[in-house]
Parts: sequence; structure tokens; C-alpha cells
Amino acid sequence: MRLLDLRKTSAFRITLLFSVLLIGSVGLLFALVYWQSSEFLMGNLDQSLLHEAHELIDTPDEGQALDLEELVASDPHQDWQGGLFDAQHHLIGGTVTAWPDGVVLDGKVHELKGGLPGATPHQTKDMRVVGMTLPNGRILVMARRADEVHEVREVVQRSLVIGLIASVGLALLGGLIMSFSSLRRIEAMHLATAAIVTGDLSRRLPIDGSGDDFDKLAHSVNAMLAEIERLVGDMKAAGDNIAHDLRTPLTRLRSGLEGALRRGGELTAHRAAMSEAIAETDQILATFRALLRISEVESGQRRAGFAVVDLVRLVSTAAELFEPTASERGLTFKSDIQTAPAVLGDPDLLFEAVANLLDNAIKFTPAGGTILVSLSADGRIAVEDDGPGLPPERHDLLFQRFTRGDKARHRPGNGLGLSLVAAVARLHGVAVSVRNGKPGCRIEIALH
Amino acid sequence: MGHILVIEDEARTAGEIVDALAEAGWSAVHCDDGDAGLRLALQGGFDAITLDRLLPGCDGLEVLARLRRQSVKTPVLMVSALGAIDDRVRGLRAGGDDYLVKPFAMIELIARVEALTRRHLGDPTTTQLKIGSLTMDLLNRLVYRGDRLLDVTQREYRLLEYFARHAGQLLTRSMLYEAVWDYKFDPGTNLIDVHIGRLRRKIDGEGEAPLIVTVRGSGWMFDASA
Repeated sequence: MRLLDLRKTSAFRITLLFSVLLIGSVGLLFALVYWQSSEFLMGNLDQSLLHEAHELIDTPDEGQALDLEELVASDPHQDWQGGLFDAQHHLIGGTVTAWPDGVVLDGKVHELKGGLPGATPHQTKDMRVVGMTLPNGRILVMARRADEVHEVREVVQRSLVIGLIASVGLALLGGLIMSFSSLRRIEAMHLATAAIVTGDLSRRLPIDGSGDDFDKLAHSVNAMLAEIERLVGDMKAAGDNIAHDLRTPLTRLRSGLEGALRRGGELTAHRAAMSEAIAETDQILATFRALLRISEVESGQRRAGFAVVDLVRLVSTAAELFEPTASERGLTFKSDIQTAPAVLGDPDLLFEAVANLLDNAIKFTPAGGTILVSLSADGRIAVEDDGPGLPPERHDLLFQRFTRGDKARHRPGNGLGLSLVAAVARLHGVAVSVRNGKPGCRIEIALH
Repeated sequence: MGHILVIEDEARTAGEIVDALAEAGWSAVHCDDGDAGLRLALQGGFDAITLDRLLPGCDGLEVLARLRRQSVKTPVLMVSALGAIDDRVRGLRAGGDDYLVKPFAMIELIARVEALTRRHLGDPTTTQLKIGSLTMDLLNRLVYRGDRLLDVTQREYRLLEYFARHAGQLLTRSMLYEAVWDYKFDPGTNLIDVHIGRLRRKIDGEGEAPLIVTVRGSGWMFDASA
């Protein structure tokens, strides 16, 4: 983990964004405080300046100069300056020593740089000034120091800078810490993922138990990994079974051909070996076809082609297709088909499923047995036989790929028929159930 | 008989197809890539074409589409290792007349090529079909061998009608299954054989020549001379 990586983390980027927003809002707040407080203070100051000026208007002519000097002298802070002039700008009284040029005599408060003539050393800064012509023709000029307003402004400005620096620093620090912790967790996840990619499917993403977003994400990814691990396990088991069930006929094929070659002999013997080899090859190909079919069904693509299926027609056609074969094998074949409502589904696949059930029943029921195919009024299709049946613990196994009853390994078939039935049922979102009869077995697809 | 164009890139398969076609009386021309195959097909003079789906140069579907765009109507049998329903539909939609999935029994290919080059017997609007000693009353769904009324089920009737309409033509299990049963499904086992066996017992009386004869172990043919 490098510091350079930090600036790429989303936590750090979010921090940066929030820092900018924070700076903006703090700045705005301070600007508002600055503007409002200085307005307020300046207003007060101007108010008192005007107030004192108007006091003098009401004072008799002879007392005006004295009052003015008293006002200035009574203030220990030396805030005030004041001068009384006659119409010809000659000084009558006050602390101003000469006529100040540039003072506007409009009775309003103005800005003044550096004080009036005769200012004390304290009064060299910015001041507020008002000039007016009194009713008796005299001219009054009064000024007041605005230092305190400026001081408050400076305090506010300083606070702004300090506050900004502090908050930005805190935000950055927090962001850095957050980025570091998120980066550390991502790094841990990255390590786990890398291990998974290289084939260790048992690895899981770390969870720190805080229940935060990372934990939630890790939980769902872990659930997904568990599912993938299970599927890969299934696939491997299926692959092993495929290898086994294909190797057996392939071995038979090879040794048969080899034997024929070694034995030599008549053309008829060779022909027989070749026919056998072709039959063996057909069996292998049928297994392949069945596998591909199951994966086609399991991919769920066929759902796009769902149509209304007439179950009565479907089951009776299947019964009619298989009846001669069953009879030829010495089995009693019965069908009990009730009127059932149509369902939405893939007619060809449903037919194939029923056909597989019938094919199995015919294959595994010994001569003299009975097979019953039925459709109930509520859409349950069942195939029942009185053959050897299935031990209960094999019922679930029955619907995994390539599983057959032990004895079945020596009979024709690839063991995929029932797996296809299960896949077709899953595609239609319905259940397949197996029940042992006495004797025999009954497999049912409940299409409602 | 006639000329068949075999467009197939796998040399050994192609060789076997050409041999089997020759044995069945066809003269076959082989071509191993799509572009050359298309040129040959456009020249015309073939009774049917077997077209591999995946080819170097120009893909099988593309060859077919171009042929049809040029209004070449030669029947085409698509031959493909892609067997999913989708692939089949795509092949037929592109203008293929039939679709055969690899690997296949050679008799299947021969039978299907034969089917593509034949006209069906009997106008579908006629009410009676008479071939050899067999008479089918299509209106009332009755069938007679000579004067004898045969007791057949509905399905057996359809099976027999299909045989009769394709008299003298090689038919395979899967062709019969596709034509007579309405579900797309590969019965694999000898289900159809049993049905045909039963039908034969009903239609061939004592001392009568068999109407349906077995060809090369796994095909059947309706013998119009019987």
C-alpha cells in the first residue's frame, strides 16, 4: 500500500469533495458574520456621531464651542474630534486646528482617511466624519474613530483563516484515515480474490464484523463464492461420472475392434465386429446428446418458447407411442387419462420427459409386470410400475446427472433420462416426486 | 439418377458421403470450401446440395442465404454439428429444406437427400390414394388391401399414408417419427420399429407380398409393386 494509491481511493476523493464544500460553507458563514457585524457596528457608530452633532444644533450659539470641546475632552479613549467654523471657514472652537479640505457638508456620515487637522497620535487611522452647516450659519465638522469596527473585522478575518485551516486539516486527516482503512480492507479483499482466481475456491473475503458496507458486500460475494464452489463441485462430480460412463463403452469399443483385428478370420466376423462398433458408437453419441440436451434445458433458454400445452393429447400420444414396445416385452400397459386444463410450457420437452419416464419404466420392469401412465384432472402426470423400485435413499440421487441404481449399470441407457426429467421440471418450475409403490415405483410431475 | 453437390470441409466425412451417394446411384461432386461451393451451386445442374454449416471461406448459412437471394431453388440439406433447436430453426429459416445433425448414419443422409429430390405422390386434395394393391380412402380414413378392409388405428393410418405417399423412397426412423408423431424428440430406441412391425402384421395377409420392406437394416420402403 503506497501513499500514492491513497489519492485514487474513493474515500479520499469524497473527502476532497467534502473539504471543498466545507471551505465554501465556512467561508460563506464567516463572510456573513463579517458583513453583518461590521454593518451593525458601523451603523451604531454613525448613529452616535449624528446624535452628538444634532445635540449641538440645539445648543445656544455661545455654548456650542464649549460643548464640543467638552465632548472631545470627556472621552478618555480620544475617539472624538470636532471643530466649529464660521461661514468663511475660520475656526471658532473645538479641537480641530484648521479647516479640513474635502469634507462634504451634507449632514451625512462619510469615510475619512487619517483624521482631521489636529488629530492626536491615536486618531491617525480611519475615522467617520460628518460635516454640516448649522442653522446659525456656522459649520460643524465632527469625526469619530472607527478603530473598534476595524478591530472586530480583523478578529473575524483571523477567526475565518484559523477556522478554515483547522477544518480543512481535520477533514483531510479524517479522509486520510478513512482512505487508509478502506484501502487496507480493499487490499485484504484483493489478496483473497487473487487467491480465488488462482483456483482456491474455498477462500472467502474477510469480514470484520462491523456490518458496514464492506461487510455487506463481502457477505454477498461470499454467498456467491459458496454457490460457485458448489457448482464447480457438482460439475467436477458430473465430469468424473461422464468420464466413467464414457470410458466404459469406449473401452468396450476399442477392445472389440482390437480383438477383431487380432483374431483376423472371415469377412463376416469383421462385419459383425464393425456392426458392434457402430452400435457402441451410437450409444456413446446418445450419451453426448443427452448431456447436451440437459445443459440446453438447464440454461433456461427454452423458456422463451413456452406455449399452451394440451396435456391430454401429450400424455395420450406418449402412451400410444410406448404401448406396443411395452406389450412386446410382455408388460401390461395401462393408461388413465383425465381431462386436465392446459398448461404453459414447452410441449416437446414435456413430451420427452414423459417419454423418458415411460422408457425407464419399460426398461426396468421385468416381463409380466404392469405399467400405468396417468394424468389427473389437476395436471399431475405419473408413471407407475411394479418393477424392483428404488430404495428411498436413492430418490434424490436419481435426479442428479449420471446416477443410476447399482443394477442399472449393466443395462442399456446412459442414466441421463431422469436427470432430463428433473431439468425439464425445473424449467417449468414444478416438482418431481418419487414414491415407492408396493412393489415398484411411481414418479410424478405435478404441472399445477 | 442425378447430381448432388456435397459442400463439406472435412475430407474423410466428405469422402464417405460421396461414396455412399454413389452407392445409392447418385453422382456426387465434392467441394471443400464455401466460396467455391457457392460458385458451383450458382452454375446449377444439381438435384440437391448437402451443405455443411461451418465452412472455411464462406460460412454455410451465408452460402445458403446467397443462393436463395440469387433465386437458386436447388433443395439444400444442411449438415451441422450444431444440434440445438435454435441452430436448426436458423438453418431452416435461412432457406434450408432439411437439417441433419452430425454425427449421422449414412442411411439417414441418403434417405433425406432422396426425399428432397422426390415429389410426393398424390395430390393432397384427392380423396383416394391407390398404390399397388393398397387403396386409401382419404375422406373416410379407411384403407383396403385388395378388397380387404384393414383394421388400423389412427396413428397407423397416418403412418401408412406417409409410406404410401413416399412409395419407393427410403424412409428412416427419424423421418417417420417427425412426420407421423407431432413432438420433436429423438426416440432413439426401436419404438418406431415396433409400430411398423405391428402395422405390417395388419396389412400383409397370408401369402401376400410385404408392402413395407426393410432396407439396409434401419430404413424402410413402401413397395408399390406388392
